[in-house]
Amino acid sequence: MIKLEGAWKSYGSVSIVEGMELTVEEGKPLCILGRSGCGKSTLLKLLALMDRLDRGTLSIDGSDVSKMNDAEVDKLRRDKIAYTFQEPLLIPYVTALENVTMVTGVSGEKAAEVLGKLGLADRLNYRPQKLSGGERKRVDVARAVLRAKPIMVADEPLSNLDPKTSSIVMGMLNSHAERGGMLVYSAVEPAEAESAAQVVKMERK
Amino acid sequence: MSLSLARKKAWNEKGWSAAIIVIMVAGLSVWLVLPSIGQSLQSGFSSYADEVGTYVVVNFNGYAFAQNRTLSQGTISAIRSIAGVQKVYPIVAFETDFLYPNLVMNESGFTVRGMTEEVESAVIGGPSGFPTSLVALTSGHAPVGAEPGFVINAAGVSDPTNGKAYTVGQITNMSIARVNFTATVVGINTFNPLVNIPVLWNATFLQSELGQSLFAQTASGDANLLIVQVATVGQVEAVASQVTNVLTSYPDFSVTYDQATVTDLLSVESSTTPIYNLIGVVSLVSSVVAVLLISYIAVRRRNWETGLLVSQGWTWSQVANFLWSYFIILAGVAYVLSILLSLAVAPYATFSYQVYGSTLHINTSIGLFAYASAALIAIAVTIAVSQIMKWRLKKAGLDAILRDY
Repeated sequence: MIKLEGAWKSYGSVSIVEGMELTVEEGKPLCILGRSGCGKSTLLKLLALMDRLDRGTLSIDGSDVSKMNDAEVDKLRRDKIAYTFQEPLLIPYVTALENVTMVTGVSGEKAAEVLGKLGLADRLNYRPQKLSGGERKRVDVARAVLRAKPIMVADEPLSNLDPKTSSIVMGMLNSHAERGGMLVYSAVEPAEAESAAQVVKMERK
Repeated sequence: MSLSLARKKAWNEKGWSAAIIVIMVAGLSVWLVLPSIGQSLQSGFSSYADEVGTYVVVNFNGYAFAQNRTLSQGTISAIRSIAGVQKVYPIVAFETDFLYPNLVMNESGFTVRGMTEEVESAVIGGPSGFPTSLVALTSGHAPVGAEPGFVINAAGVSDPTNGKAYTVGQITNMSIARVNFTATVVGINTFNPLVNIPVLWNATFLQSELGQSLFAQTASGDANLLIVQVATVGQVEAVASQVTNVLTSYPDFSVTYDQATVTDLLSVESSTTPIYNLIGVVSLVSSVVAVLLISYIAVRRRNWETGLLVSQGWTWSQVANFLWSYFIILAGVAYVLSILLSLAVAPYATFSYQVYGSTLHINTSIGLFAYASAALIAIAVTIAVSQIMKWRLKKAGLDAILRDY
């Protein structure tokens, strides 16, 4: 379980997250819904342990992250969290397949199978420059799915995707939750939150 | 994972890899070539100083052979036992006459027909001959077999018929112990002018021309000239002083060495050593700085790449390994190229100095130490860069480095 209590985060004088409270339980996908610039990505990065809270507490499976040192946080993130970026980050000098295998260490067969399910069977050997925004997004999702960590944090996983692919990606993310994993994802459109067990709405400050 | 990703990065980002390699090659080549030039100059000067500047000559004041003055074996042994004396060459010097019967000279209203020029000479090699190891030919060859030839110190004697120095192949009329014959210049010798023996004979030829008995009488027996080789140029003055003390019973013999040259060589050695050391330090610093700088710039170029890897479960150590693998691949290529470059450049780094009327050539040679140390520098710098980058990125934080995207 992820528990966020009284969470505050600001960059300079701009306050992004103010007194946020939320709980993510196993098997119950949580969707952070809000328009662009409302702080969804900041909140997800806090949950994915890629940044620290200014105030408040974050606990994962009962461990208070706020009291951990950097090395402990690094280890917790490595062991428990898979993350997909809003703007998919792919290494430009390797292919789609290698972006999955070389970064995660999974076998080529397994990676090709997941990428195939995401409609990228004929794009395995394409470099990121030759992939569309939606295709890059799917490679990023495949990478996170294949890491098979208990917590999946996905930043707008359905953006730039057509309805058919959105449904495949969402199905993949939901199956993670169905297997008992924790899923937190963000979305702009309310329709993308339909399959979530709980929705947290964020407003632009 | 780290190595294969690093290999892909190095190969697929050819432009950047090439740019980094070029700068690494420049840095490593500076390290390979500059100190090697310094060391070659230093050792070249030093060996030259020890080879040429380390001679003390004991000679009769005037022509010893004309007065049958010789040095006893006891005296020679005493000189051999002086500290710093490396070798003593006892030489029997004898008179050789160059005959110019047809030369006509008009001087001060007088007409002179025919001329004889007396010079000091010795045979090459043997127990009382001029040491073969000290024959330094600038052209031609040492006489072989019974070849009717001699080696001449071109700076010591010239042909009065044309006023020019003797050249290889020139035939001249000569006389030794009143035996006349013709002989050919087969080699030109350049040696310390302290040893004023302009003509060096082929012993075999001379024996056949003079006959066994006259040859023995003329060119063998007790020495009338000594070349004393001193271990280092720094010991020359002390040895010369002690040799003079040994020769107190020989007032008509003098001890000479080239004071000016010895002083110059000692001065060159002492004044240039700090410069050579400085060259070494400057080369090391400049090569390390060049490699560090380019590595730092290269890694700063794409911080988010390492952030991505960490966000996907890599440890910071794995990231450091990845960075190190990348740089060690480039450094490996740069190392090979810098060796090739330095081998190509070294032959052009030749220095020439005019000394003793001849030219001292000092070639630059790159030793194993330079190659080994360049490899160590490359490895050390790549380790340092990867560790510094790991530390810097870790300190910046994952969110900060991902914001670079």
